[in-house]
Amino acid sequence: MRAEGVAVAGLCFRYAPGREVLGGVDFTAPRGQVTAVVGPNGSGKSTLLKVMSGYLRPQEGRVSVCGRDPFSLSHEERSALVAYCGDEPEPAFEFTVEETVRLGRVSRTSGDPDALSRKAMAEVGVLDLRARPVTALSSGERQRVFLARALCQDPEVFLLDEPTAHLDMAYELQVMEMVARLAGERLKTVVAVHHDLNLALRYASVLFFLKEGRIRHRLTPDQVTPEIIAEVYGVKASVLAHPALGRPVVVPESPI
Amino acid sequence: MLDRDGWRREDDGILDGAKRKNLAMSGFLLMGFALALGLAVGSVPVPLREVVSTLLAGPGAGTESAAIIWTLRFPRVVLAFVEGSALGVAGAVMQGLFRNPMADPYVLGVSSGASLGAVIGMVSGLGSALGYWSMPALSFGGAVASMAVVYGLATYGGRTDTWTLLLSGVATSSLVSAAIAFVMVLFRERVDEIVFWTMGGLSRASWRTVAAAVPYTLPGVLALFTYGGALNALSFGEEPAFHMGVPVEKAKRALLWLSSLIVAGGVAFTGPVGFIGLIVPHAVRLVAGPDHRRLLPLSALFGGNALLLADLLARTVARPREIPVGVVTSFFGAPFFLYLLFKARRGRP
Repeated sequence: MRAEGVAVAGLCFRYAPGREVLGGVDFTAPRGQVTAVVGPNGSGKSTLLKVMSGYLRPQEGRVSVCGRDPFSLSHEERSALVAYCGDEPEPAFEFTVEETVRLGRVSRTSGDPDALSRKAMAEVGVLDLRARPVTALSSGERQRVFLARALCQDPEVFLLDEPTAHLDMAYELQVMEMVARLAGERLKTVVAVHHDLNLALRYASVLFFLKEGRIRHRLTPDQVTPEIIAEVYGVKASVLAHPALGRPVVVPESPI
Repeated sequence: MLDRDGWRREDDGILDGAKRKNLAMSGFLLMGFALALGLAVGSVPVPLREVVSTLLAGPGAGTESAAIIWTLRFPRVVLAFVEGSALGVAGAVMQGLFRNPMADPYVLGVSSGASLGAVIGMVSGLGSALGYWSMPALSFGGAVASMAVVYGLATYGGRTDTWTLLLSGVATSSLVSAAIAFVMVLFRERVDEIVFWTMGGLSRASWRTVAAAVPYTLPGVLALFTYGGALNALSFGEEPAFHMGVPVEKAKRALLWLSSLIVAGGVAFTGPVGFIGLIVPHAVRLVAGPDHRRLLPLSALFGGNALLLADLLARTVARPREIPVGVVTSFFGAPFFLYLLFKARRGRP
């Protein structure tokens, strides 16, 4: 296995005996790139991320995060290596945005929490909200706050489960540009689960198509064809070139 | 707290370090005031100046005031403060851990377990078998047994499920309460005694109880203070806390056991005292914000003050009779709780 980025091999995961969610997944995400995991609902995308983060222990297979096994790391080491950002329950208490973002440093002892949290809040556009309670935010604002908390954690690997699910068009682009810079400029490893194929096609170097717990395809954006969309999603779609950017764009037509 | 648009005002206590310090300061002032009052007031009032001179003269002065203050009231106010602190901090811990401002220190069935232990002691004669320590030992045993059952029911494969824990706590508590009711029916002549015990009170306080309660409770309270950061993360959910690098299962285990154990110790000496563990953290949170690094110590401080003042009322309102302190805490606690609830709701859009 490579010593940088994330790699998993022969990964099998079951929540209960007989109910296999991941069945022999091989996956790699190199450092300095955005790698996308796409696929239909229930295909195991989030489970895959949570296994890579060390939260769910797989029954079979190996996981390597920057060359380390996340299940043998101390909690502090793990938080320095990998951050996960996904859907969270409604906050129970009125922590301010700033208090919430600073929790990214809760188990990190090095670094300046003030500077890191300010920078993180600025990067996702929540600096103006810093004194507001998270309970009073919209779901999109809250999603950016949780993203800022992951940025404040400042790890090597970012595992993002639908990082733009609640965002409007402008913030969707702003957040994804920021994620692209994380990989491109700061050489972090980013694995992002997307429902929006076009975001994945635009920002990811490689797309893994997951279906029923198995990787069906590993493709660069240029290699995605209508046949693949039909096979993975059961949707008839056209793949066009973006008129301005030239990147491929998927335009769905009808279910098959 | 919040203005109409849900913004936290800049002059709010949450952001203002000076105000935060003021809250701690006023907590200590209140403590001094309540302690002084607790020593001076009772069925035999002692003027404050005499309280001071008696304290300075030491316990061996031989006067009537010395007997009242040194042997009756002093241990009593100390015990009230210590057990109130335990309830305050344990309540804050449980609310953070269960992500629920309605949780109280007795969620693991500590109070009903302790009551059953005490009731068994009263009706079986075991309550005097071991002398002075029999009743505290039995109620402590009951509390710990109940905790262990609830914890065991909710723990599987090294993980403790918080929801299962909450529900097992409720179920176990009502089962144990049914057992208490059954015993009461069988031993009608002891009903008064049992009811009085389950309403809580500090009349059994003595230097012996203080000598047992303080070294038992204080380390637990101080240990809980160190979990402020972990509780902050946990109050966003266990999975997010894990991703922030919190050792979730280890922290949960420590928090549940430490807080339940200190409360179990308190119940053994004072009987169950309701509402302090529920309201104090709630009120502190409204003023100081939800950060557990502040919330835990402040809840301990104001929890101690609350029980101290409640006990003061308990032994003075119906002088020379004493009413159970649990009656006082519920009588004032419930309306105050509703007040906080509606006050907090008005601030929301």
